Amino acid sequence: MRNIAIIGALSACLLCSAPFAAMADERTEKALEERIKRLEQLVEELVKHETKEAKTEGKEEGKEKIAVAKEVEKPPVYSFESTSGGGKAVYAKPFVSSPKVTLGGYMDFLYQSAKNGNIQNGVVINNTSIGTSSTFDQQRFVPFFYADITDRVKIAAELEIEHGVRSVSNSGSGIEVSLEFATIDYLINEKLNFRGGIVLDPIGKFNLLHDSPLNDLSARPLVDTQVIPSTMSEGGAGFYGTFYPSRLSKLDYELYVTNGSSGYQTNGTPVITAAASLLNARQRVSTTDDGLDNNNGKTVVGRLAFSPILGIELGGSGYFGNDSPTNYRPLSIIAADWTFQKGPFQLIGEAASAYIRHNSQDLFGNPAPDPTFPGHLLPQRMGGFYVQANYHFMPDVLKSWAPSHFKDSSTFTGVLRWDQVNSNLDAPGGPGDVQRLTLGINFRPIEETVFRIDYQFNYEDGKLNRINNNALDLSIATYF
Amino acid sequence: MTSRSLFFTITCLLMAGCASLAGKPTVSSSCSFEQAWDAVAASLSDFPLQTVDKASGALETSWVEAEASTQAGLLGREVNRERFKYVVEVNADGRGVTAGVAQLREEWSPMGVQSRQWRAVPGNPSEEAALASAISKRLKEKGC
Repeated sequence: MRNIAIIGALSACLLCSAPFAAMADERTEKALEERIKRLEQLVEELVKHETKEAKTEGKEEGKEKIAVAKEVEKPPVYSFESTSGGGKAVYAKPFVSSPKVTLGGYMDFLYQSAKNGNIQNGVVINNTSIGTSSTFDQQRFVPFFYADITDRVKIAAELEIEHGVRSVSNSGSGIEVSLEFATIDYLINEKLNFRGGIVLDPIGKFNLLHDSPLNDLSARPLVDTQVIPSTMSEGGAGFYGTFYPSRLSKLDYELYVTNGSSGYQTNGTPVITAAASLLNARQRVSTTDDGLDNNNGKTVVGRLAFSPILGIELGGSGYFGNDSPTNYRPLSIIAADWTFQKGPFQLIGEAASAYIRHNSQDLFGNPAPDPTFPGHLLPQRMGGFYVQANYHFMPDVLKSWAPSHFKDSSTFTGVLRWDQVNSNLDAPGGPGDVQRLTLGINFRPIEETVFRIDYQFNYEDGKLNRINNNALDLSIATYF
Repeated sequence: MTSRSLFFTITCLLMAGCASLAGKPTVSSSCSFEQAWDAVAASLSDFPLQTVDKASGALETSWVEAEASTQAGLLGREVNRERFKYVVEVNADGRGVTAGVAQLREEWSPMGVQSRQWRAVPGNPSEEAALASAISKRLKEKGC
């Protein structure tokens, strides 16, 4: 209001001065022109100053910010007539202006120290791979892109660079740079939208929400590294959407047809073993040319997630395809996931089971011994689960002691997780038969940055041997 | 397997059935259902309505986009989005009526996998209270 009054007064001055300017001689005209310019500059400066001041006030107090936004951007305002206080905070901006393209990313960094030398370093002596027991690892650097092409066409992509310190790889596998996902969405309506490209397989919840800064522990759940070898993404297309079955419930679905997995190298060597589980069957590490489909059979993958109320979500998902280049060898994965949240408590988890029919036979139908698990055939069935409890807290004493470090948006989380997985359910005690108990605590100065300390009690080679390989993980992850 | 699926389905249905506005701001009044219904409708008159079901006493607004309360990444870019809708349930009992108010809120961010879909987050309690207050005021104006 004050702005308008000042601008009005200045405008009146300008208008009043106009007739005089018209009558004046050339010299006077120039003087007046200069005066007008000065006045215009003054008005401009005044407006800039007021806008800046209003923005500062808005950042300090949410309600004030809303008031400014309403004045400057003139959004449609929804409010409760004649109410005060919180009612004024209710407003809307149906067309929030945002950049067409958002560039961002995340990175994480890990220090791991394990009891045994289980960290492979590529040195093999007497046919034994020698590992180190502690290392720094810049695990992932992931730039991503999001673009609003139109109101209905969107592009999203993540480019993953793993262990980025290297310029060459000792194993000859090349540097791990890949498009983790790259999709083109066509939004039809809330219930039905098209998505095509390199899609994240909607199998289990973790694979869809695998970004490191989102996780409360440094290591991924074992079931999501072996049975669902996240990150699983494949070329494909399909549909996704959301239904609201009742006033408080929500039903999300995703359903895609994809190229599927590849259970064999191009020379016929099987890649699904007890030690590697399904990791090397993923399309993104497939040895087929350009990662193209290794057969004409497509895979169908989908997930249904139901949330009856806020804080509860139950998901079910399935993955059904053929991993063989020469005949029909179905690979199927089914998974269930759950999320329960009540106040600061959260209980999450996932269970998955995979069946790779005829994987215990080679492509000619002969028994196929597992080179990673002597005396046993290649695995056909694998499964596992994890259950994780989180407790979020923020001691007030820290906020008052160091308010610039511990803010309202900061939080600590205590974490307890139990992992159990076996990559050959027909032969317990193999290299993929592992249980793990993890205790962790993390600090998030802001929601999207996390500092984590975890201690893993690892029990390897199954219940028969239970080899102790405890490990300490220290990690940082952040979106940027 | 069939029994497991059945158990899963029944559990989901039960949980959906239990879903209510318990714990949310509720306005109680000796007004009639008609008066309360009119007061609620008037209080929401500025909002686009998605559901108006007088038989069940439910009003639901459409999603309305609001300024995001969060920023994206370390750089604090203002690219996140939030939207909300109101659900109001008017119920008559022997002594009068109650109107329960809930705000459903969702957020979206273009950051990585978060760009995949809208995610449900808790509603804003002060905005829920403000709507309840507006309804209460209108009911009082009706003299009941």
